[in-house]
Amino acid sequence: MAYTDLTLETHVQEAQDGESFRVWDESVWSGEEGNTTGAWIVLFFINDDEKTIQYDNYLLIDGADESKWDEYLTRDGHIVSIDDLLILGEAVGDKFEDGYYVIRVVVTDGTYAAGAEPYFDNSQAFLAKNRCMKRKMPAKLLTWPMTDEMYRINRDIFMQGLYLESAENAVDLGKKTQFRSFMALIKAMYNYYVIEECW
Amino acid sequence: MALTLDQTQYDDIVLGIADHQVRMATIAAAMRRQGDPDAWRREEEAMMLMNILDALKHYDVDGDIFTDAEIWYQHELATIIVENCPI
Repeated sequence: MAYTDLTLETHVQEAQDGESFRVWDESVWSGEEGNTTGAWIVLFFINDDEKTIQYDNYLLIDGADESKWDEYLTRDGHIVSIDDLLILGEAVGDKFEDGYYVIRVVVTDGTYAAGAEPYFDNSQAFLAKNRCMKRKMPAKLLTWPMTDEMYRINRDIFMQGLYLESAENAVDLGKKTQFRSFMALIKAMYNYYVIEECW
Repeated sequence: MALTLDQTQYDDIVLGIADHQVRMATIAAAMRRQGDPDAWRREEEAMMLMNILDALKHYDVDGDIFTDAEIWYQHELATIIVENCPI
């Protein structure tokens, strides 16, 4: 029997080092989560050319092993390491590339046809590298006393934080164009101040 | 390279900067309420402290973003900002 009253929802949080993300469940299950026999994550990366790169399915329930699924259902969530992800069977790399991601969680109780299982898409900006670069700005750029030049630099650093937040909010709202626009500005700011990449 | 500071020492430094930031913002807010024309200066300094705090907080000392020198520089800068604030 299919789920009778399921509202899927997830939360996703990328690690500061860009090597993993934490995902946890916020669904309304109406007591039916125990009926789940299959669950997996599909990660999509949408690059600057609007090309979608799909990762291979990452199983939360792998045969009789439900340990990842059990973690996912807790508030602590399950940590997905990039080391455990593949694209067309090939290893991905050691860091998530900064950009626009969609993290799809798919569940089934075994009654759905393949491709018709319930799923939830969570759009997320993964910006670990850009966040890291912003951390480097004060030590590199700020000095005392506060001159007119320093006021400007100080505001630029503050605004970089605002634009990073705005980029993340744009992805939360599915606004790809605005995300690209914010990221172009953020990149230009790093170039202007010659902030080196963290990795 | 990881810091020679341990996480507790590092967190204490960040807490000290947070204390500076709150003090400066409190002063700036009071000046703004009073309509003081110099309030903007205190606000700029509070912003600088916030920039430093944002850079440092929630950082794992096993990471390799900062050197010890960068940590101490930002700590010193935060201290200088507060010490130069006329109260």
